[in-house]
Amino acid sequence: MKKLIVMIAVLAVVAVAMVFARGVREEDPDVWEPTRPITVVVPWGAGGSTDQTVRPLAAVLEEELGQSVVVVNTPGATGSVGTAEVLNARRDGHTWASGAVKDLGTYRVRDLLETDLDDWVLFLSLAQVNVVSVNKDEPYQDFAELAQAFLDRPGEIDVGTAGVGSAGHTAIQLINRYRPIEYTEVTYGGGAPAVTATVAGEVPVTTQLASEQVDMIRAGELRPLAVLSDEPLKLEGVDEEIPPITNWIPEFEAAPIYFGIFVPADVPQNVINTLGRIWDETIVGNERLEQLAVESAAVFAPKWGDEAHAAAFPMVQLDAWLAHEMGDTVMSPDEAGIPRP
Amino acid sequence: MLTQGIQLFVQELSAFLTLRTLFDVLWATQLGMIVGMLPGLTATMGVALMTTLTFHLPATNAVLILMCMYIGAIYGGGRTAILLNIPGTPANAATAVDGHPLARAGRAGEAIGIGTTGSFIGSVIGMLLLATFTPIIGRFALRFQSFEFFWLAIFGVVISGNLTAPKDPLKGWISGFLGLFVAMIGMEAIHAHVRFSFGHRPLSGGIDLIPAMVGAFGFSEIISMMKHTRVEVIQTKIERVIPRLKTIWGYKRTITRSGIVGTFIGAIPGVGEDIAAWVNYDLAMRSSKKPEEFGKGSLEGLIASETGNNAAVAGAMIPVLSLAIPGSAPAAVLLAAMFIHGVRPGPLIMVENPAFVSSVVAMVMLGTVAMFVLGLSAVKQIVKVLLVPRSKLMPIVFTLCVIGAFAINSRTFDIGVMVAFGLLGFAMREMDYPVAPMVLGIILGEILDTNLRRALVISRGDLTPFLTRPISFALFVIVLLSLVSRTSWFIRGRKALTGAIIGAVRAMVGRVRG
Amino acid sequence: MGDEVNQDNGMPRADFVTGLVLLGFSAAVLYFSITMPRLEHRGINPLSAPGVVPGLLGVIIGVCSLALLIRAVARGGYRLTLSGRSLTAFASSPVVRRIIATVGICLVYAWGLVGRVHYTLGTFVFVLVFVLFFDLVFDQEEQRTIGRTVWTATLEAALVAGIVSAVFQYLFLVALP
Repeated sequence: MKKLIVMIAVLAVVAVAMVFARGVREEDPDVWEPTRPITVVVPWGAGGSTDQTVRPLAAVLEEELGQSVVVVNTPGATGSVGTAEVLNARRDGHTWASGAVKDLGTYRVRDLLETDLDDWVLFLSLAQVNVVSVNKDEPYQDFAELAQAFLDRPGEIDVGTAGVGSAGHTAIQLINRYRPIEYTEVTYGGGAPAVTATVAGEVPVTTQLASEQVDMIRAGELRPLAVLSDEPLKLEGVDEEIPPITNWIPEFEAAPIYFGIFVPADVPQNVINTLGRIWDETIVGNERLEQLAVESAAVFAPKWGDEAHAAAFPMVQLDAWLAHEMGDTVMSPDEAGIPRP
Repeated sequence: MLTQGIQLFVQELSAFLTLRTLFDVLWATQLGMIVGMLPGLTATMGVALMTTLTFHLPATNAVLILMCMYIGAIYGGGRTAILLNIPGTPANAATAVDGHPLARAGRAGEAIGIGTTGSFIGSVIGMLLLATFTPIIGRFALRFQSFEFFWLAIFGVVISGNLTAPKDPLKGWISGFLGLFVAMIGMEAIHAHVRFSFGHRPLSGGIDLIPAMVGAFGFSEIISMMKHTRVEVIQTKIERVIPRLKTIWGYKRTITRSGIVGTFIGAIPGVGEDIAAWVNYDLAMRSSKKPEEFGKGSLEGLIASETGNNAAVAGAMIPVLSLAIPGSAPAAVLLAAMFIHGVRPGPLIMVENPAFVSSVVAMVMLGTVAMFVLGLSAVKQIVKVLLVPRSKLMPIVFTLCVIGAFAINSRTFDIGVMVAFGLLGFAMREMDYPVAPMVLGIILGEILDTNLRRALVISRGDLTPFLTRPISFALFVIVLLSLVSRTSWFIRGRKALTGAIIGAVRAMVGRVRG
Repeated sequence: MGDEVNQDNGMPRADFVTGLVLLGFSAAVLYFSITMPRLEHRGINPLSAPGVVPGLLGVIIGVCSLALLIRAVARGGYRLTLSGRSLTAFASSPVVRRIIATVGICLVYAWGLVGRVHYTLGTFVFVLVFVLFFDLVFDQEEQRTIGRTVWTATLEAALVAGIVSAVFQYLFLVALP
């Protein structure tokens, strides 16, 4: 009987020691070893640009962290439904959000979600640009013709986008800012359905991301008219470059849209440090990820933390103020800490 | 062209015939069947899960595993539907309507056998269409636009209501429209406005389909099973699992039609296996010589829905390959997986990478054969589930319902949703309201909501395109007929009208004579 | 429950009540849809206002419930009788007691145990209690002894709890509640 008690006591001490040791190890400021599968919420549908960015990233991270990284699609409302889920989850570093930084940064001013860019640490992987394209059966051969048509038939031409806050929505608003036009925006559940609808001819024009259009452009189903940038865009497998919009609107200023994974800033510091190290050591220079980015007409641009924040913020400013000018917001971006660009 | 295609196909197929690949095919299909059988785990979830797990495999192996997973899951869900009256995935709700009565009549083995055969043939028909008509069907599917999707959503709810409440379709429709309303709760997908949440935070994310389905079918079935004081013993003598060729031949028209229609519906973007099963069930009943058997254990109804939903799997791959547009939710995940593995399907695939299309056809074939073999091999053991006393079986089912509801989003809120829909579903059953249309309504709610409003924006508020576009008009007529053909005033009116016409004709004839 | 009404005629009294409830429900849906913000401040197209489709559904459900109500009235469903005696008879019927027991045990597990105690333990307790409750309290098993019932139930509960936890945690990568 005595032996038994001693044994139990020893076991108990060992158990406590193990728990304690584990606890100490978890508090190590640099090393984080996730104890259960990690969830990355993609707040858009499967197959969209965020989804395609996040899944390969998840697989690389899974290898580095030695723990499964499960991608969950929770689409809805410009990505705010899925992002809200991450905010509601426990802040232990096991639940991450993802998407475009400009969405995350403008949720508050758009009255979609109470969150600021400073609530998150950004781990970015690539940057994308918008392309203005028309269905192959439409008569417009270049951007000038389309712009003229918008002026000739105000409000009659439909533009397919993925809705308020989507890249395509911002793009048509930006154009509108430089060359005031009247158009009817038709909203789809994501970039891919908006492009599909343009191919099908339900809407004549789309302004979604290059990555969402690249296959249809290559197949000749869509005719690209302009890329929203000051440099032409060369797509793999397409002979002609897509001309920059500055050919027609010289003063046009666009900023790239960065995509990546977002971790709530108040998770344990070792989570941030570990991910940062993985970014510096493995993601930068990952040939497979780079190849995937190039194939999808994007720029491979891994960066994290303050550097990522600095790179992505111009588009947030642009988007927030644009939305404000258009009356899409409920408060001035100034109030949300976003100064005028 | 054709010989070249066959040559490519044989080439691709033989490339898969290694021990390692065949092993992959078997375990992936088996895992898919398990995922399908567990209520709450769906084909979409299974494929998404495997995407991340197969990232390091070569592209074709990874896509093969995902394909097998998809085929297995849609098939596996039929078993739970037959044995327990709980559809394993939303695609199997129509299977339960006839499959479970068969099981109760002691014909579970036969039902599984015929369901498996139906799934197999459906898959084969889908595969043939996939191999031959990919570009044409892909183009046709693009003609379904916002106006058509609106009618498709209404059509789905109405036929499901008709079919599951044959005596009193009004209650079926009410159930369906309530389901559509449930889908309105939470943040809507166009302007991100939160509807009907009344400040309740988890509710603002909406009511998820899976917990609601698991509750409405699973938990309510548990209560129904447990309430009886006396247990009716189900006789299960399995004489034959593999159906006779003669039996199958007798349903050749139903099977062919279900396979072709299922493939087409699968190919329509965003509309999946669930609608395919319902539409085929409806078509089978309309053309059947014994429509009165439907709902009471008709082999024809069972085979129609199972052939339809598996044909839709291959169908869903058609727009994936030809347009890079997914035909269903699991196909969307599959498409993303292809992108990740550097395979870019799309309009150019036939030109750039024709071998890949043959390769996908070969994958569908391997998965289909694996499903058939695995599906028929353990039936005798699986049917024994029916012999387990309910007091021992039902707590296990409820445990699976709880974890299945939770597994989708890891939210305890979803367990509450499951329980609430279970109680609602039970109350509905007690009052003769079918739950299947409600579940279909939850699936179709978002399609209805976004497409109706989008269509209104495109037409500038004009309602005529809803009736004048060719496919829209056809769908409208079918919906109208489905609705009015079941109302008593229509039947009475038809009789009166025919009477009046005959009377008028007689009078006229009389006058002419006079 | 459904046994006391004439099956051929449907269940007019139940339909009368549900018709009223649904009519009230659809009116509420319609009200909330009409008063739902049209988001003018965001400059959106009024045709895509969030209230459009729920409003339409409210109308459709309203029409359906009205049809249900009219039919029920025509069949005499408005003659509701409610007496103390019928209530007691209802409450003491074995069917109702079994329903209450099933729902009760399941609710305690789903809302009380899951998420509060360790998942595997909670599941074990639930399966054990469920099996024992129905085997011992409701359907006294004839042949077997109580001891054997308890023993098999414990075994089943342990197996279910263990296998379900393991499969979902390690195979399907679900973080258990």
